[in-house]
Amino acid sequence: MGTEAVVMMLLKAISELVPGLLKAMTGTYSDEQAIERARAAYRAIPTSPAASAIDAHEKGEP
Amino acid sequence: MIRALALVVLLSGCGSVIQTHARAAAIASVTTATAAELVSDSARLDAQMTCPHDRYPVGSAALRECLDPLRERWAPADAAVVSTRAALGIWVESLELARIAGDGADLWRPLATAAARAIRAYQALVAVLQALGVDVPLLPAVVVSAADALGGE
Repeated sequence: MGTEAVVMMLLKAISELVPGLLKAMTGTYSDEQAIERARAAYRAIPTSPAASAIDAHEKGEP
Repeated sequence: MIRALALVVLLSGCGSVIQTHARAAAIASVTTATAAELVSDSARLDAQMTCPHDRYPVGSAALRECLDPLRERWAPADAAVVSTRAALGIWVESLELARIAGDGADLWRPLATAAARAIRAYQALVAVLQALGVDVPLLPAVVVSAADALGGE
């Protein structure tokens, strides 16, 4: 995957986050809510992306 | 420390220090998740190119044996993703601790340390992936400045 695709993926992710970030900057979010959003974000990181992809290929999954 | 905190207040604008760090941690997490997606895509492509199904049928011992070296090659990438995820988790939970402890608690130093360690973990992930030929985004400046502002080690 090229650099342009990487940048587009990151921009897409950030653009989905920006409305929430803007609300946080104006103080609409509480500290607790801001932390909960950060918690949800790190928990969404997959733990074995390479192994899962190789397993999928071994099983013939698309 | 007081000058550093004043800098954070200036940098954070209307948000609290905790919200500034939570925002930075969330962005760092999204960036890491993006990198993990690229790892998945790259490993899958490697498997398809190295062990195509027309030569290594699904369910065959030959396919399994062909994929074993790939699992070893990509294991450091998964380990780096796990380390970064864990470091980000510590950063976020340090924020929760600071929020619960409230004003006056001397928790800014551990918070800055947790932030700096999460950033270093991501930088290590980038290095591992570059060695594997995977090009991933760097952390946005807002993430690095959140840690730097508190003087993290």
